[in-house]
Amino acid sequence: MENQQNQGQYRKENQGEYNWQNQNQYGRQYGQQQYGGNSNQPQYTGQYNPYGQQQAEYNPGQYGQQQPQYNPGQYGQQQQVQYNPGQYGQQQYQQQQPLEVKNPQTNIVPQVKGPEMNDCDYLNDILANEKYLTDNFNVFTREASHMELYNDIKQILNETHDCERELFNLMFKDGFYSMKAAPRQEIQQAQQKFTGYLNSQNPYRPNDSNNPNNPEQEW
Amino acid sequence: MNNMHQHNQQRMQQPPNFISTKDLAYLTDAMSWELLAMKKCHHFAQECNNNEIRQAIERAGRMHEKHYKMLLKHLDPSKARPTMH
Repeated sequence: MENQQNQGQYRKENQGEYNWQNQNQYGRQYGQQQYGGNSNQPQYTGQYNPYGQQQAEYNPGQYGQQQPQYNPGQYGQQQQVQYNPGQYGQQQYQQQQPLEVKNPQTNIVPQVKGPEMNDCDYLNDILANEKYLTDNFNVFTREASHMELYNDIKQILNETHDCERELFNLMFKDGFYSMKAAPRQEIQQAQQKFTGYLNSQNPYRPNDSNNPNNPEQEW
Repeated sequence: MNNMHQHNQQRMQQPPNFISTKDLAYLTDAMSWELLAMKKCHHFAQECNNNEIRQAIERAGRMHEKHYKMLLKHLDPSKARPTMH
């Protein structure tokens, strides 16, 4: 009963904007799990908590102790791609709940976390360091004097980006990152709006009789 | 007289190979970043329990070592003055 009340309140609060989903890694990790938020707040368990024990929505199979809620065809037994909001499965909620793309947690990080750093923390710190390096090497690339130096710095920048991506993918694979699918309707609205701009504001628009700079040809 | 001389020379299309003061400042900075990153990766990799994570961090460390050496090559005293082609 109490749970249901919480859920109801939760649903109400989160209509429209879903800020609660945009919390960063540390916000979730330390804010809700470690310091005991979620034991009293059932609405944060399950697919909302990357450290939770419950079902994950996106499950490519190989991590599979947990039951997939969202299962894209090529990974699984289910042919039909369906979205099932699980514990929140009331109909009205189904349309507002954005699809979360995320792997279930592996057991890399201990269930009970203490003050000592774990593998995920190390990985996160290295990732942050690579981000810092790419920021700085970007500036260096721009400021380098001669071509040889410029090329070398650009190569270092590129490789650092690739390294960063590799670490990110590793974290995603282990279920430390989750993404929300953008609502189809919003994508469509943006698509229409910017397609419209291309017709009304594009200075390179072909066949524009009002613009003497444009040749009369399609490309 | 000096001006005249420069006038007669061919115009530089892009900066010649030399290390500017700015390059030097950035190079030394960048090598400090790489060195720290190297140490960090090496240390963290040793602390990691998971094999895959350890190897990924170790690879990152090797990459930083390689970059450090790339940068160091540019610290060539013979490039203190531009060499004209």
